[in-house]
Formats: sequence, C-alpha cells, structure tokens
Amino acid sequence: MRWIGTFTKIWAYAGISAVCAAVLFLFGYVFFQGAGIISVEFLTEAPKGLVLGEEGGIWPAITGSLCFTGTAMVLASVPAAASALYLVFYCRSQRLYQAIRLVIQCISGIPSIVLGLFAYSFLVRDLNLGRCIFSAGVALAVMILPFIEVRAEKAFREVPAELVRSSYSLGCSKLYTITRIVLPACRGELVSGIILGGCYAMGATAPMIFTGAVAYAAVPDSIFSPAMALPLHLYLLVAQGSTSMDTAYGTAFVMMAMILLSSLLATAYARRSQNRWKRS
Amino acid sequence: MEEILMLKNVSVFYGEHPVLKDVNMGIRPGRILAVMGPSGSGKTTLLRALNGLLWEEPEAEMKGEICLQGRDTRTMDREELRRRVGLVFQTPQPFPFSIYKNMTYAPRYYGIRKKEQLEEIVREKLMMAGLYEEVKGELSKSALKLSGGQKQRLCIARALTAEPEVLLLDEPCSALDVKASAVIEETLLGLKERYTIVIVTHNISQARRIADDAAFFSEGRLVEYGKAETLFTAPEKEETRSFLTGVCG
Repeated sequence: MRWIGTFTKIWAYAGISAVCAAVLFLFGYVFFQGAGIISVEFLTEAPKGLVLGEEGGIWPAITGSLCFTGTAMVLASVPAAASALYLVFYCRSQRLYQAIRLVIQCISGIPSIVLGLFAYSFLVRDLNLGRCIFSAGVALAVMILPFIEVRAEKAFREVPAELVRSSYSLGCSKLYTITRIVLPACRGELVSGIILGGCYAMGATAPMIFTGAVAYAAVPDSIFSPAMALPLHLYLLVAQGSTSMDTAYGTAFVMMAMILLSSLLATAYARRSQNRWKRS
Repeated sequence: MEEILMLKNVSVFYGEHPVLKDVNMGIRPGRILAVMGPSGSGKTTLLRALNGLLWEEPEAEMKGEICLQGRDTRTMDREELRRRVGLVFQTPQPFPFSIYKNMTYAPRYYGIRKKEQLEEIVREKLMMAGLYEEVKGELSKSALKLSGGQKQRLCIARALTAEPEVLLLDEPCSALDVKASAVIEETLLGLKERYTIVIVTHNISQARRIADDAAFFSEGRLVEYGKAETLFTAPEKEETRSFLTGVCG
C-alpha cells in the first residue's frame, strides 16, 4: 500500500504546483503587459483620447472604485457583524438559526447581475436616487454581506468558550462580554474579513453597471453622484478593441495591485492584531 | 444554621439524557463543601446549575428549584445570580490582559471608576487569594505569563472582585502540582470565613484536608451528603465506601 501514499503525495505536490504556477502566471502576465503604461500621469489624470481611455489616465476610475468599495464595506459590515453576533451569542432556537443561515446562503447564491437589476429597479428607479455610488454600494453590500458574515461568525466562534464563560461567571452581561472580550479578540479577523469583502466588491462589475458606474465621470464629490469604476473601465477599454489594449492592461495592473495589496494588508493586520491581543 | 443554597428535586437533562437526577440538598454558609464522584457523575453540571451558566446551553433543561437565600434563582436576573454565585473553572482562564485589567474587569462593569477604589479592590482581593506579594510589583504584566498555580489564584481573586456570596470551584487543582495545590487549599481555608465554598474535586485527600461538608455523587444521583468527617470515616452507603477506598471512580 506504500505506492498509494507516494502517489497521493505526488498528486498533492503536482496539484499545489499547478495552482501556484497558474496564479503566478496570471499575475505575472498582467503585470508584465501593464507595467509599461504605468506612470504618474496614468495614475493621476483623467482618461482622454478620440476613443475614450486610449490616452490619459485612470484617476477618476481609481477614486470611483475606492468610493464604491468603501460604501459597500460600510453598508455590509454592520449588518454582517450584527447577524454573526446574534447567531453566535443570542440565538437559542436551532430552527431560527437554520433559517437565518439559509437566508444568508441564499443571498450568497444570488447572481450579481440580479443584485444589480434589483438595485436599479428599486433604488435608481423607484426611490429615484439615480445612478450613483450609493445605489451601487447597496448592491455590492448585499453581495459581500454573506462573505463578511461567514468570516465574522467563524471568528466569534473561535474565541475560547472558557473566556466568555469566565466573563459571564463574574455576572457581566453579554453586551459587556462582547465589547470587552469578543470584539477585541476578533478585531483583526473582522477587519481583514471586511477588507477581503471589499476586494471582492472592487473586482465586481455586474452590480454597478446599471446602478452607479458610468463610462466617464469626474472624480465623485458625493456618494449620490455617479462615478467611474476600474472593472467597468477595463471592460469598456477591451470592448473598444486593439487601440486601447495597453491602457486596458494598465488598468488591470492597477486593479490587481490594489486588490493584492489590500489582501496582504488585511492578512498582516489580522495576524498582528491577534498577536497583540494575546500579549496585551 | 440556615442554608444559603437549597436544591429541591433538581434534575438536569441534555435532550433525553439525564445528567442530574432529583437532587435535594442544602448548602450551609461559611463552610467548604467538597463535591466528589466519578467522572460523568454530574458534578460540573451541578455547579453550572447553581450559578445559572446552564441557561446559556440551549440543549440543557433543568427541572426543580434552586433557592439562593430563600429566593428561587429562576426568578432572578441571570447576571445578578452569577455575581452572587461565582464560578472558577478547572483550567485557569485569565483574560489575555494585564493582571490589573483582569482584576478590574468586573468592578468596572459594576460602575467603579475611581482609580484609588479600583487599586484597593485589586490589592485586597489579590491578598485574599495569596497572590499579592508575588505580583505586586508587576501588575501590568500579562496574566498569561503567570505560572499555572498563580493563574488559578488570579482567577479566584478575579471571581472575588464581583463580591460573591458563594464561590464554586470546578476541580481547581487538577492541572497543578502538589505545591501549587497546597497554596490553593490554604487560600480556600482563609476564604471560608467570608464566603461559602463549593469545590468539586477528584482528590479525596484534598477534600479530607479542607472540607467541612462532603457530598458524593454517582451517575447523577446524590448518594450521600453530610459532615465531611462522618462521610470520610463512616460512610453510610456502600457506593461511597467503595469510592473512598478506591474500588470505583
């Protein structure tokens, strides 16, 4: 039976090598193709050219994307953390727990274009908010809510039960225990979950096509104005054909760099915060 | 002497499975009660029922009545019950803060904000737990850096900061060596003047050394309960005798 063990090992190594190679190739290819166009002008100017985006930069798209993502993170994190707290510390009925879990799973299963359609018909049209960062932010928030909730719930469950019970045994309320023990213990995990959710939102295009992202706009001055977004800008540049492929790769480069950097920061923050909490 | 805690027909079930069966007993104030019994005899569940921690477990169901100073604990606010009946766990669990912050955690919750008052509480309770002399110069040190015995004494001191009337201890010495256990025993003997102590222990010699009263549980039933001296020297039930002589449990 030794050959089964050897085979499994080779299979595992081959699998992990293939995945790493694919990811590295993807990043490497985009960075290699896009690196040439990156310059201070590209990062700080608005798109220009006869075919829009062929020349100039992507500054409004960068700020727009940050605004969309920030709005989604704020709108999603509060209900996500609250529902995770409820499920872990307050919900005593198994049925209710299962029902809430099912709803959250269903939300994560909704195609993002449907979320966009919902936000368009309800917020943009019925509530007359128009295409703006807020409308798109709501659609993106619904999309990333289950993502953040699952991570928050996992983090809350990983707080040692004995610590929570020790606090209860001193006669302290749940709220006090949550604010003094649970949230500080999970701060890193929570923040990193929210940032990773933001990364997910930053790369999504479908929820904001109808609701807030536009082909061209200046740097947004309020969350009730439309804005450019990196993924939609990238899509439009590619759709325009070969003349704007360089700027398309440049846009992809910036977007991936932003997402990668945010993910790394989130992971580092989670680790640091966990260590610091343990040492405090 | 009037009982501080009174259990009337207390049964606890996890689903269909009974863990405590029809327990009737009165716990007298200012004494140390040692609760003994083989593993799985319901000792820890008894402590959890006494301080209401069982309410946090949705799958546990309690029948019967537990009265604290004559008042049914089910009619009490659960925070009030837990403040009055403190519980120290088997594995010492200091909060991952400094010693000082561990000690001021509960007083701050009860609204004490003045620095002098907090410092006095920290000093007094650490002294009661016999820890003050060892840590007085390093109160800002992480509680996680203390030794096992010190951690457990910190947990006892922390439990005292909530000013409980009854202190429950769930095998507090099971993870400690003989020397550290002896210090905890000494601490408990010093505390019984002010607090009623219920200690679950597997260690019969420890129970002999410190207990005024003793109770023996087996399979969720209270087999025998009475003065420690009588129970240890002349147990009435055969089950207790075989446990004490090491035949079972």
